[in-house]
Amino acid sequence: MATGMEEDQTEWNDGLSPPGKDLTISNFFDTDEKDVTGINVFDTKAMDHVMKEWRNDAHKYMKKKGGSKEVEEVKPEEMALQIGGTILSEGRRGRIKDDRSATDPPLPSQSLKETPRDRFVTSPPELRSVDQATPIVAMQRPVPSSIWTVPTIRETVDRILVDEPFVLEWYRTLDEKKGLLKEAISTHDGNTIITIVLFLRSTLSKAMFEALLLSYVEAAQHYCSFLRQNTAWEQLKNVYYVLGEERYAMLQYQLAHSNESINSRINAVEKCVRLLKDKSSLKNEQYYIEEYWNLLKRQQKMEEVRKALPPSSVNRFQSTPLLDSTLVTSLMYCCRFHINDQDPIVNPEVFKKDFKISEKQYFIVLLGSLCARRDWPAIDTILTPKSFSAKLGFGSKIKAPISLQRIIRIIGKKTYLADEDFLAKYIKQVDDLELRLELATKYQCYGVGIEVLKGFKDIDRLKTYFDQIPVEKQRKYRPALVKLFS
Amino acid sequence: MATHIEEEAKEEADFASQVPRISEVCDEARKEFQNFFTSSPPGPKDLVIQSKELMTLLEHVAPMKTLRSLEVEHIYLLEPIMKTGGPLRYYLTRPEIAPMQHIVNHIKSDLNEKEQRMYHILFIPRVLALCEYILEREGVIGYVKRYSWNLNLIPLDDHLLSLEHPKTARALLLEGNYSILHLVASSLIDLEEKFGTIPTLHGKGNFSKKVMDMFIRMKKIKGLTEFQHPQKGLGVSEVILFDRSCDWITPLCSQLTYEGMLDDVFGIQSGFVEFSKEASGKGVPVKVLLNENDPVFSLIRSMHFSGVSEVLVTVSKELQRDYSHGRDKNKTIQEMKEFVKNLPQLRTKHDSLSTHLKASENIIRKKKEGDFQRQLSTEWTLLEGSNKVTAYDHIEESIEGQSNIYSSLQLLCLASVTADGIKEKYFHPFKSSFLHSYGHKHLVTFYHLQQVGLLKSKAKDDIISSKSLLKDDMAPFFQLQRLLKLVPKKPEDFNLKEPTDASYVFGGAYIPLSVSAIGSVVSTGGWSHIEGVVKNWEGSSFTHHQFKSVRNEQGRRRVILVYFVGGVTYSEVNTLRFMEQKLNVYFIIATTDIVNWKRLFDSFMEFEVT
Repeated sequence: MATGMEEDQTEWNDGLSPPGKDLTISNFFDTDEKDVTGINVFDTKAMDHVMKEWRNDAHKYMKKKGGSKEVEEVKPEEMALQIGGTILSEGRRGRIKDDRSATDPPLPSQSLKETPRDRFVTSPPELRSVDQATPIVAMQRPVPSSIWTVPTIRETVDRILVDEPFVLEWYRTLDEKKGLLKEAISTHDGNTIITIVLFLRSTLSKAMFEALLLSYVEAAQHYCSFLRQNTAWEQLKNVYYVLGEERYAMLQYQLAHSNESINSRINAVEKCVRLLKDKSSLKNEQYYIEEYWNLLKRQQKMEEVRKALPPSSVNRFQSTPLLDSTLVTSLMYCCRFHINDQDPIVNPEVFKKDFKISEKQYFIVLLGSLCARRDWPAIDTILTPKSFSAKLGFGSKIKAPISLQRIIRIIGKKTYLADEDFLAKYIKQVDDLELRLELATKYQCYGVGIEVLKGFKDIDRLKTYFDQIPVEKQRKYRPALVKLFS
Repeated sequence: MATHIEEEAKEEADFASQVPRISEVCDEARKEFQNFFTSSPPGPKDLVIQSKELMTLLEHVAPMKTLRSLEVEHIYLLEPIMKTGGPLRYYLTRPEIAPMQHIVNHIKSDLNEKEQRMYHILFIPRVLALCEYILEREGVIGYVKRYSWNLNLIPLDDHLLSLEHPKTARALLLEGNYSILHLVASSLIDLEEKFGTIPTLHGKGNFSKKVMDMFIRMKKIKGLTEFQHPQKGLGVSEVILFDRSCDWITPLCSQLTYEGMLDDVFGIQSGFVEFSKEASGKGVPVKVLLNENDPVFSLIRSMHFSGVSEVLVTVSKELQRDYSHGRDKNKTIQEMKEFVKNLPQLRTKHDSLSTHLKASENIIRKKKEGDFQRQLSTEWTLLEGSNKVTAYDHIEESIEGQSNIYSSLQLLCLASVTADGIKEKYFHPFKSSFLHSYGHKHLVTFYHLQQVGLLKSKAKDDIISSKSLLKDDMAPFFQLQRLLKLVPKKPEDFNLKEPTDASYVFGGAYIPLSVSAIGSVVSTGGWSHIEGVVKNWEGSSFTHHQFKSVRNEQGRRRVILVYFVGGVTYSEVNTLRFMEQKLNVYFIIATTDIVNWKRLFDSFMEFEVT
């Protein structure tokens, strides 16, 4: 792969495909290049001057660096990189041509209104040696030497803000770098901040860079957002580690979910649990993460039990994975299929105890699972109080940690297809008559509704009520009604 | 009398011809788009688009017909691997990292296989440093031509402009990424260029403040310091910037206008709603463009849902009459001609009617499935701040019963935001049962919601319980609610079909906080007259005069731009339109994106809800 690419690139880089060849990528760019240069009238003399100056600068630079390379061999592109530093967009390089000095006031607005053609970003054909003395593309006008005066930090940041070309490598002292960052933050523009942050990252040691991030929250946020977008999770974790344990732990936890295999997920979650041990600030989170860890381990065991079940008991849970279902669903599974199973792994009572599930929550799940099994007698049993007085008919007739209305809402769910008589039994228990009537209508227990209205002795209302009943059901209640009216 | 009415009508027409035409906003972008294609060598072109959302968006700027005329032969969705296609390839993408990596992969694999192609990338709305950074790092930057396509605000409708930048609330609040603010500021500059300098800027919220600062700074850098008159017609006299984070309440409420309900139930994407195979009743999914040009939709869009069916019936009767009139045999040739001429119009109306009938049927069915009435009454109780116990009971039941996760989150967040936090003794049981019911992975969701301030746990205070109950009442929202009269006294005898009050959008129970505040600013000319509101509301409130208002003719209708930073809901758009008459203004609404509770929660979740 790598070698293939290199080959391709060399072919590309010579950029001098023979004329008359079919349209290829390289000669397409070539044509285009001429197009761009063709528009501009070159002042060769001035260009020569610029080139000379540039070369001199490069010489100096190379010497300073101790480089022994012949400058003549340095291609303009590399040179630009060395002199001007990373010019983030090559397209922008073509535009370091503004003939105003750096101290000049604001950039002319029309430069922002470029045509798409101006935005063309090209590079391969530029890679010609300087010796050829061909002018650098897009150097349209003589560039005064003052272009090399360092612009102020604010000017540079302003240029980034309005998408003008800029050079960051001027700023080498730490103070200047801090200044850049501060100025970038003051613009409130995410792109500007990211640009500066990335520059700082490449020019500062890791420790220095992180120290800067710590003191500039907004910069850190943008950097993290950049890493997050980049899905550079390892780097992001490192930054979060520096910024604070809370986010670090949450990211670890979030990433733990991306593990497909259950075993590796259990391990990853376990790591989070250990990480949070004795961290008082996240005690609450730690509790839930540990609970999740235990749940996963339990589900793994439950899955084994389930696999051992005879294949005859095919059900919804047989097809859907138990692993990574929610705690409530797991409990529901236990209640539905192992209600009397003594195996501590799947016994619902044990499950409830192990996960400290409240009586109320347990009751709701149990009720739901019994409804799903359509085991109405069992529901009657758990709802009937066992006390002596209740058996005699005193006190509450229902024993439950939730309100009667809520019980009706659960057992009345359409998917459970509860019998009308069964529902009616509980709706009748509602003390408030108007409410009872409302519920009776809602759950289509019209018998109860008619009873209530009979109690009201309101014939008119009863008639209207009867008309509301769907025709196919009317037949059932007609005899009772006829008897009443007669 | 008659002349008076005539005069008014004339004035109205006169005004209508003068208002800024926002459909022209992206004219330049349209031209620019064509230039990208026409400037490259002729031949069939492939267009690779980053996402379905962008595809939908493109239909507003360059519909299929335009693309054909530009020799675009195939349109692809950007995928990690792409081996097909001709020699001219155009990518259309937002300046994000993931698509860059796909493009890099494409180019590398093509190079490997010695496939020669020309690559162009159009970035909406501009090339960002980080995209170039990736292309450069991977060594492919030399093969790609990159263009900024300055497409910022897209006119979705007569009054509505949107950047259609998804998940802005997440970027701004959760990640603290301000890239979008630049887009807002530069779109304002573009608007000024088109419709003239906007003399006065009002704003609410810290992000709005940042936008204004950036706007002023950018104008200064670009040397745009002169007052510029509108190219034609009326200019915009004021802009009101409004932060979504200053009003979380409104997007958390279930929407009740027809347009809002369509968005809640089906989801409106860049002005298009897609009905699934089942919902369309035609056996195939149907995509419908919703705007003022739709003869039926324009009638019912901002109505409370309860009134919609009545209107639909009336329209259908009208249609029947028109058709039967056409079939009348005793007709002159002239009449016949007239009828035939109107036939296409009748047909569009007929199609539109059947679409919306089907849609409203679906909405009713969907809402019947869950306990929508109960959900609504709990929302209203929370807004009113009266009977917290019932509301909390319902929240608990909703969570424990594993009902729709979004509904549970809606109620939880609403409870928290209205009372400035849920007391610890309730918060932890809620959180615990939430995780048990919907999965422990939502610990991350909870954490995120807490970070952005949608959920808050209030520490126990030492004061005895009766007093701390009083304290709830002192929460900033309830102060604002009283000051701005957001919750009308008697919602029972409220006529939803012919509303007199903006609270109709939420069934007479609530006037959106954002719109109410904007209304006050518009009518009093700034924040200074509503000091109480400013004092009780977090986030800066500011007014900045760029220039003295030039034409300040008394009684003349003003054109006001309301810019929502972080998203707007359809309900708010409907309410603003409703208030236009009363305030004697013309609103243009601009936004970063259009939100509802579902999209909002989705953006804060790391995991997809199954």
